[in-house]
Formats: sequence, structure tokens, C-alpha cells
Amino acid sequence: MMMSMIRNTLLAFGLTAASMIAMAAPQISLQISAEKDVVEVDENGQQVTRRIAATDTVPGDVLFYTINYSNTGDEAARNVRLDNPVPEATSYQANSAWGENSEILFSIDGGKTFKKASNLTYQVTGTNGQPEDRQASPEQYNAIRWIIEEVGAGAQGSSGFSVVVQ
Amino acid sequence: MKHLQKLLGGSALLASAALIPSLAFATAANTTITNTVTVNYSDAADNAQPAETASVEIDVNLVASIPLVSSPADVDPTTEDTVVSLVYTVTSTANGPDTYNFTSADTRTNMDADAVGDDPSIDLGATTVASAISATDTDIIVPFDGTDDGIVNGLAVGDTIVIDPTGTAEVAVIDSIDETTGAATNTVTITLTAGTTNGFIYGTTIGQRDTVTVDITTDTITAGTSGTHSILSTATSDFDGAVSGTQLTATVITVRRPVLTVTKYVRNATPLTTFNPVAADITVDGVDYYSSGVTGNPGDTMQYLIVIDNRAAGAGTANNIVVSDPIPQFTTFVASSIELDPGDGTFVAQDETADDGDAAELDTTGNGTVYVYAGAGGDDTTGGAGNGDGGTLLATEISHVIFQVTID
Repeated sequence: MMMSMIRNTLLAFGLTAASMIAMAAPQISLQISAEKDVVEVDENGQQVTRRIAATDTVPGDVLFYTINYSNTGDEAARNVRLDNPVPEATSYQANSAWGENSEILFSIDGGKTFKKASNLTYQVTGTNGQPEDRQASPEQYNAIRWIIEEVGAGAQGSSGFSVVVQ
Repeated sequence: MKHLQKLLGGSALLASAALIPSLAFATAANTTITNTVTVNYSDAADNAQPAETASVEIDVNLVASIPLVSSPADVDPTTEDTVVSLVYTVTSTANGPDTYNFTSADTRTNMDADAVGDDPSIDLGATTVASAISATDTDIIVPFDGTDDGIVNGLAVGDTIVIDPTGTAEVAVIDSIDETTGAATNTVTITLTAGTTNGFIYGTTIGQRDTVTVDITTDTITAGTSGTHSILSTATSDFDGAVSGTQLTATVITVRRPVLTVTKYVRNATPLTTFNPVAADITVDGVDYYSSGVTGNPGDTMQYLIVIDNRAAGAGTANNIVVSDPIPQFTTFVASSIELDPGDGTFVAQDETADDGDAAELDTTGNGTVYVYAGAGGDDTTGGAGNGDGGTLLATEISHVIFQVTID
């Protein structure tokens, strides 16, 4: 009888442990926000630039996108890749991409391939009829990728970039 | 913009920190800019985990832009207190639909007061190119405005549009609009009645072109025969009252008064008479007339010539010209003797019967009065002698009336 109870207790403990092992997983949550700068006059008549949430815009505005991510799971997330196409009707603003503990890559082929900005080239036919490599300009970037090696359980981070509304 | 002001509370908003570029190339109003980020990742054992996405949307606002306003041709002549309709062609250069309110300014010369315009308004749609256009394309892809109603940013079937209105300015007409793709692709298709001549890049402005009529009412001439109203009409954006376009060249409206002179001559028309002076004062249609010195015996036929002259320098058109000439005392009107040259040099016989459709009638009251509706287009059809409608004599024209009497 006593042996049976011990066996059942051990079995239950083993099942629970197995369940706990099976449940351990990373879970990345995302939030993205957009802001823009406005100039206003304060009570002293001084012009002050304020950054506010952007729900509307006009051509020429600079929009600042911020991506907040967090790992709400109970295990580290590895090889985290944030992919963000540059929105239609906007153009990427040079040197605006940033990110914590991340490698930032760019694409000029709609997100098929990503490279570091310094390695991002495209080919044109030169004056001699031969293909020539040209350095891609920031306006040509149409997708951004942040690579984060690991986001620990409960950890969070941010990245972002800005665009000009065409 | 209203939303932004609400966010800023009591602070005075100056402008977006960014400079607004020329609207030759811009994103259309009511476009939704959607930014979507996707995260892919693995667990510790390198097992791929389900991707997560997050999005944020921003709507593009209308940016008012100076409309293109044509300069209607000068108007000369017109008359005092007259409505002159000036037809303006207006083209939007904005990135979305707007209403343009017209006002007119006058620089007047020799007029008592400024002309008054009726200040109409016109709605013009506008959008931008969402996918580059190649020459001969009939389909134009533009941003969806959020409403599938067959009208995209104020542009409808049949509208005339101008692609790149401040540059190439290619004019086209909308044949159809397909907005069924709007929700899925955020773009819609405008089909033109004919392929484009030119290619256009992404973001090129497409503005509606339409006409608006501004009715200008002239004032009265201060002195002399003419004056001018020099009109500059301005179309102001209803969305942003600081943005307006004015016609480049003023439209000059020349107001002219008719300056009629009336002179009467006579001759003794009795055959073989010797009672006319030697030298004629005027010869019309090969016949000599005299301003004085004509005599006659009882029973002689006297022919009167009335000259209505509108040839004074600067004169305007004379309307409703009615000549009334009482038959002189001691004479009797000669039946069927009235003739009218309406201004083209050709005399046409006029019956003196009232209301019979020609341009003369005789009021038989007393010794009688001849009424001639001189100039061109006059008639005696209004009931009763002397109630007809006078004719018209343009500037530089002259009209003649003749009739005969016999000396009692």
C-alpha cells in the first residue's frame, strides 16, 4: 500500500515536471508606435519642438517609429529578427535606424535579402556596357531588419527608425 | 490639423517641424500609411516560434496648394450696370480635394465705383500617382481615399484632370474609376479615355481642372464715353485661407456709353423743283439734303432725312433706339413714305401701320407722329403706336430715316 502511494506520488511529480519542461518557451510581444515633431510657442513666446503621437501627417513630415519588444515567455528567445518594410508613401531617413544589442541590416529588394548598409549595392550598366556596382542610398532602402542574438525571459528592448512622408 | 491643436492644448501651434515640400510630388490626402513590423525567433533548442506582428496607421492630411487660375480675355465693349460673365479655368495642385472661394478685385478707371463680383466657389478633386505611369498608359494607380464610392479624393468619372499641373501639365479625362481594390491594396485605378502622352513618376500630383463663372457687374462711367474695370480674381483654399491663386493677367472690361447725335435735313422732293439750295449739306444714297434754305409751294412734297449717328470716338453700342418725329404743322404725312437704313447703308421701306411687324408706325393723333425703331432689330409689334422696341446701333454705325410730307 505504502509502495503504491509512493509510486503514484513519484509518477505525478514526474508528469508535472515533464509538463513544466514542455511549457517552457519564449514569447515575444511587439508594440509599435509613431510620433512626429511639432513646433509650438510656449508661454514665454519661445518656439519649442515637441514630439507627439502621430495619427495624421502631411507630406514632408518626419515620422519616428519605435518598436518595443519583450519576452513574456519563460525561456530566452534566440535569433530574434525584427523585419519592418519601409511604409508605402514614405522614404527611409538616413542613419535613423537604431536598436539595442542588435545588428541592423537593410534591403533594397523588398525584404528578400538584407545586408549592412555599407555592403548594400546594386548593379547598373556602365558607360562601357559592363555592369557596375553602385552603393545604395538610404532613400532606396525598402526594408529594415534588426537581428538580436537573444532576448532573455522577461527581458525587453527597443528599436526604431524614421521616415519622411513623400 | 484640428486634431493636432487639440493635442497641444493651449499652446499655439506653429507648424509641423518638417518643411512641406512642393506639392508637385506628394502623397495624396486620405492615404493611410501603414507600418508593420514582424518578429521571427527561435527557442533555446533553435525551434522556430510563431511570428508576431504589430502595426500602426497614420492618415495623410490635405495640404492646400496654390490653384492655377486662368486669365479670361478682355471684354470690350460692354455697357454700364451690366453683368459680364468671366469664365475661369481652375486647376488644383493640391494632394486632395478642396474648395476654392473666388473673390475679385477691381482697379477702375473713369468709373464711379468698383465692379462687383458674385464670389462663387468651386470644388476640385486631386490625388497623386501611386505607381509610376508609362507613356500610353490608360490606367493610373492612385491611393485609396478610404471610401469605395466611385469617387476618389473628389475625382469622378467625366472629370478633366491635369497630371503634373505645375510641370508637364498633361490633360486627360476620367473614363472610369475602380475602387474595389482599395481595401486590399490601399490603391485604386483611374482609367482614362485615352493613353497618356508622357510618363510620370510616383507621387506626381493629379489635379482636377474645371471652369467657374464669375459674374462681374459694371458700374457707371464717371465722365466721357468710356471707363474700365481691371479685374483680378483670386481663388482661395477653403481648407487654408492663407493659400490662394490669382489670375496672372488682369481682365480689362471696357464700359462704353453710346453717344448718339441726331440731325435732321430736308429737301423739296417735288419733281423739277427749283426750291432747293445749290449746295447740299449731306448726300445720302445719292440724294442731296439740306439743313436750311429749302422752300416750297403748297402741295409740294418735302422729304425729311433723320441721321442717327453713333460714331463718336469711344462710343458704345446704343440700344432701344426710338425716333419720334411729329409731323410739322401745316403739312400732311405722305402714306408709305417711311424708309429706314438700319445701319448697313440699305434703305428698307416701312409701312406706317401700327403693330404690323416692321420698324415704323404712325400715331395719327393730332397732326400725327412718326415712330421709327431705328438701328437694327427694332420692331413695332408691341400694341399701340409708339410702343415698339427700338433697334441697336453698334459703335461706328449710323442709321438713317426718311419720310415725306406735303405742304398744306
